[in-house]
Amino acid sequence: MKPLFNSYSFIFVFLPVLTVGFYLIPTVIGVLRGSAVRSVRKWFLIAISLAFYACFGWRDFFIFAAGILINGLLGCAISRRTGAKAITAVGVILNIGFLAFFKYAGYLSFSSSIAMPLAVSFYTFQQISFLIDVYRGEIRMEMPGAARSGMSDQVASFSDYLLYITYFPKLLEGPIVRFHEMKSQFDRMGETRFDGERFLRGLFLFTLGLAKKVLLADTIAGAVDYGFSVLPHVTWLDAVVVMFGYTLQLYLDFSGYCDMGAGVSRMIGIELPENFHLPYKARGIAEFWDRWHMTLSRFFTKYLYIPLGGNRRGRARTYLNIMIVFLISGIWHGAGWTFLVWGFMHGALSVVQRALSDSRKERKKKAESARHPLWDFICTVLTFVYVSAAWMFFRADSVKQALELLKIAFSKPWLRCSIRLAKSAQLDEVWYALKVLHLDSWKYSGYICMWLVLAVSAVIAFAPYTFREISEKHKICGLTYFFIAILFAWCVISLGGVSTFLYFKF
Amino acid sequence: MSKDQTIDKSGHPAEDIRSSQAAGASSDREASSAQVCKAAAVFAGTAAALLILCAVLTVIVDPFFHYHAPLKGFPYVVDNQLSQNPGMARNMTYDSIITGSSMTVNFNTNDFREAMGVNALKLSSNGAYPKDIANVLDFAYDEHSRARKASPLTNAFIAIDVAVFTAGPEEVKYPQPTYLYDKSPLNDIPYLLNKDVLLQYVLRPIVEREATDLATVYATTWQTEEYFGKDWVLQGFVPSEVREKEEPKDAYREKTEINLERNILSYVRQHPETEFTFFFPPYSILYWYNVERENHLEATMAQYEQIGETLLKEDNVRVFYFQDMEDVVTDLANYSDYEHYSPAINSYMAACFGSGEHEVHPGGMHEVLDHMRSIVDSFDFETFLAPQ
Repeated sequence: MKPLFNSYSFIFVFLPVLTVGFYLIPTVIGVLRGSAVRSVRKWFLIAISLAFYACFGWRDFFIFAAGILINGLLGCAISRRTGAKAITAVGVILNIGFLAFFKYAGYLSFSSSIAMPLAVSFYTFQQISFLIDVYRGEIRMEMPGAARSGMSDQVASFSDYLLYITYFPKLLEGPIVRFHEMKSQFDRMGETRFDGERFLRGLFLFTLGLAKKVLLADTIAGAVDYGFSVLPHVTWLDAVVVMFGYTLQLYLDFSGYCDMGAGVSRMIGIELPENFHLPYKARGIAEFWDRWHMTLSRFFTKYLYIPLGGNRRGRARTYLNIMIVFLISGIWHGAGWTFLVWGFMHGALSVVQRALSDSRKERKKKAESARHPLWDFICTVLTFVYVSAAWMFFRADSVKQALELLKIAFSKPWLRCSIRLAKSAQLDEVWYALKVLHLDSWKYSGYICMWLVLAVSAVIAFAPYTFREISEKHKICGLTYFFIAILFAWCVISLGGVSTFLYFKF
Repeated sequence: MSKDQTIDKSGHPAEDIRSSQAAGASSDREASSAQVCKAAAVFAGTAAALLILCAVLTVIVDPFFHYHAPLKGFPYVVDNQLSQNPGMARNMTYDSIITGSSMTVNFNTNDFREAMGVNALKLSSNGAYPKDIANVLDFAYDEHSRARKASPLTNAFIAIDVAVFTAGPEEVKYPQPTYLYDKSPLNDIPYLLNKDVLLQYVLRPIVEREATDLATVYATTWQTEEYFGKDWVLQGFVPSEVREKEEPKDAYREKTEINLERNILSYVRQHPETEFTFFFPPYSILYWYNVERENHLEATMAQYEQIGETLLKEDNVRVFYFQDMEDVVTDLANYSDYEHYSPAINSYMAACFGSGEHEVHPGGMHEVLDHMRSIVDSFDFETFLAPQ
């Protein structure tokens, strides 16, 4: 039983156990209030989070647990302040080494049989964030057994640290949260009462995230996988569909997961930070990274870019720092030249954009053209195309394969799309709709589903609001939740196939 | 990074997620308790009704035959070996089974009825490993099943592909829907709430009304004439890499013995009421071309002899060897690729099961394998494979 968010076991077992258990605890405890409830709820969440991770395999679980123990001890040692700098350096190096070993062991042929522990890229960064924050004095770790010094965003008991690392709604694919973001909410857990409205809004967000993944991303994946499998034979339009299709697929898959995690978390009154804010509406690469995987950008800014000097050591050093960050981001995402090229592409454009904005002449021109809608539109389109092209290196098995697809996509347009590509992105429901509407005999009926799914995905990607914002602002009414229920049921019965989140391998 | 994020004096980014919570908590979206209760009730009621409806339809029709025998008159679509074989084995009416790899998919059970008077059910399992065959036998021999309560299993016709007998004894070819393999209803949710089951196997048959003919179930009926022939076969044929070092003669003995004992012979011995008919399918001559290039001809021959003679020691076993039909295996008009033959060959084999032609008796494997060896040794592969 692997309780991915888009699985029967999560929806019918984990989620009910989580929500019922979390709200039932105060009743079970009885008249106890305040700290006892908080403490029991905390340990309940730790237990369910550890059980969640353990379902994916004991080997990964023991590696995860060992990492928690080692980093916890390091955190305690750093808090003592003696030799804190050295201990922090050792801790960071250990975590990076640990991550690098699992990510690159197979690629560099140290051993082809070493599988990467699930979510290692995410929880390792959480550990690094924690250790550095302890070193900087932003967190003070309480020694086990010491008298508690009261609730504060800065004080981490062992259970706080444990829950911060293991909290399962963000464990597998982020967001990469900061300790203080969670601590204040952990401290208030004792007073959290069941709030029907908050619960419904969480359920709303979870359902929409599930739909993004199960109904849209997984459907587009069929066409993308097919396109890559027959690459030498794809037409121009096929290549364009594959390129933009993957761009949408990746966004829906990743942001869908984050929406589900945020929705689940909201059901028990804990808010996770936003991780995606309509990134494809960005008017430039810098803005793209302010909207895409926001917590990763935040991590790299705080723990890499700024320590390297940020923009405080002159232009040349700033550009170098930017490039270093993106190359390391590429390496973090995966082992292989494709990820390095992807990182380089983003770094290069970021440097170029930064250089242009540093120029005084450009700053003046920018101020004058900043609000021109046509210029914004052009910038958005160009950014979207560039990012989509870069994603091909993310998806392809090799640099050569990525270049092969891009060569076709940027060649002479030819408006012919392979029917096999279109039929690889099919929803049976659409077949029934076409049958009812007597459109199934139309010679282009085989293309309808793919274009429909791409169109809906594009609308979501370029909409004025994110699903997260809609979940917070929509009016609670019976009609809305009637449709959400239909969508929920539709998603649940669509779980029957096999699917994995794209960022799982990270 | 295009800019440094504003960092407050405690080191936290200026943006705080609590501000988004505050922004969300405007009076515009605060709902009354009544609205919330109504919305929750609508959600729960609608979702439950839809999911229960889906489950009930699936149970009533039961397209994978997991709970009951097929409904009379319902045009069932049967095309999913992994999901439907267990249910068919447990809930259909038959006295014989045909199982094994894709070498069995083109059998027509009417040929078996004609040749031997048996009511056979085809439970093919493409790419089957020995454990896959064992799984099918487990389903077929389930004494609590409707099928076995109705009649004993009198015959089992099983294709033997020697190459897979070096697989791990617990290894299966494909991941299996284990919720259909056990009898626990607690894990049936993936079957009951499954869009593919509902749309492809419950509703679509109702719309299209094209029931699968179980006599030819799983057959490659899409393969029309142009999918057979030398030109077609050779265009898709990939010769193996030449291996310099010859495989030792007993290279496959140990693993083969383990698979035979655990996954085949245990059933043969436990069920003396069943006559087991094992056959070695007639791969084309190109199969032997690759065996020679891979330099394990003697090891392969030894494996055939080991399997054949071991099986023939049992009283309720018959063994057929079809690979030395020289006219057939050297004529690629009979093949769609280097190993898959036309349905006409399947029909012939079914007739042979009845007539006894090509049957091997104890001690007879050596002779048929010598004949096969002579066919391979004397065949002019170079001319045969030269471009026309």
